[in-house]
Amino acid sequence: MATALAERKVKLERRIRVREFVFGVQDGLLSTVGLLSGISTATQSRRIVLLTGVAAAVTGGISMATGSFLSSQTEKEIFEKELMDQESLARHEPYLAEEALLESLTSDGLDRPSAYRVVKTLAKRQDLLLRTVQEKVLGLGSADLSHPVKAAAVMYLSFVLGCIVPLLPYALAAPGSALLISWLLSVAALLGVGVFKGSVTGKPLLVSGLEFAGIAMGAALVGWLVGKLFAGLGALAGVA
Amino acid sequence: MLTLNVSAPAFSLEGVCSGAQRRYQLADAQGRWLVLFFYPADFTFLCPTEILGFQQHRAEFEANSAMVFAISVDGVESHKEWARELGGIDFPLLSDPGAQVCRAYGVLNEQDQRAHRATVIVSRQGEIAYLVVSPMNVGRSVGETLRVVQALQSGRLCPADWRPGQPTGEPSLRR
Repeated sequence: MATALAERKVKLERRIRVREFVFGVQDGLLSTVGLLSGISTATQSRRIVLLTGVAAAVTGGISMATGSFLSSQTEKEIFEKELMDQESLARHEPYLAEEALLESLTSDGLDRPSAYRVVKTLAKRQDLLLRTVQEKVLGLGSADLSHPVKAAAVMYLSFVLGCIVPLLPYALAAPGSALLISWLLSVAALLGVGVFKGSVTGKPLLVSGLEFAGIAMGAALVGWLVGKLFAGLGALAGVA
Repeated sequence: MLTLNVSAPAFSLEGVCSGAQRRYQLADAQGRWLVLFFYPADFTFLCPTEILGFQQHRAEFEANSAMVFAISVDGVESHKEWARELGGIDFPLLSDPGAQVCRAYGVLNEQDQRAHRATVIVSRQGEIAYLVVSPMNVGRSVGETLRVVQALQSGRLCPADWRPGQPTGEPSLRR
């Protein structure tokens, strides 16, 4: 039983990386399909669309990876600082840590005498008491979820992957049909990511998939409308 | 909060002492000194250090003709279980579930409806002779309470950290 739970914890730590994957692919797809829809509609130029798409993938990926790295690192540092503070608290003010855990357990519905005995038992081992206070009172899980470099790498690759899907049709398909294929592929990809996310999180697959597809269509629609607007403005201003 | 030299508010509360339950009143201490030891709650981690301290020094309080009553808002059954958990307590743990006595002595924490960590010493004449409220995170010194009882009983001017047998001053400035 203990081994099975430990394996679940490891799996959970891996699954948390799905957050970056979903975020990266979704952002890559949404931003690129919308951007390319707009540029394509406005310029009708395959070359400009491809250049824009590649530039968006490279710069957007770096930006997203950097953001992910910095935010994960910040989160990790905040957690580490809190853990250090708590270690000091448990060492120098054990009663405070014990009282805090006691209050937490009683507020969760455990009767006071039982909660007292649980805490008293845990208090025989300072490290055990500290870990329980961290997890129960502060909500700082022992699972190591903050890997800034891993998070950044997953974010970069996911973003670029997300960019490639709507970009490919502009490279391979006829200019007239590229926009439509880009949309369809993006919707299909987001549907796929949504289904994948649903399989990981236990959410109904169809609901999860449709959620993503709905967002993608909305973003693409906005991009297309903006492109139309710029095209109209360009025509008014006499820009080719 | 009460002030010094006023009559201590009367009370009548159920309590537990050495496993036995009965009703305790202020009048039980008539002709003796009484230490009212208010504490926040049973089954906490700071309070037992104080309660066990009084348990350890109870013979010295008795030798000084002083009774000790501990009071919290917990029920009698809680006190019984708590006393058993601590290995038996041989001075009364009084139950003030409605917090009327805590309120009458001005030591009720209105926010959580529990007693403050307050110590009140009532003289033989039933007057408030001493009162102190300690922050929730700071446990009281039982030895200091005993020293204050002895100093009050001396009826003399007692300097800082005075101990029985040490020099005292004229009592004319006592009040």
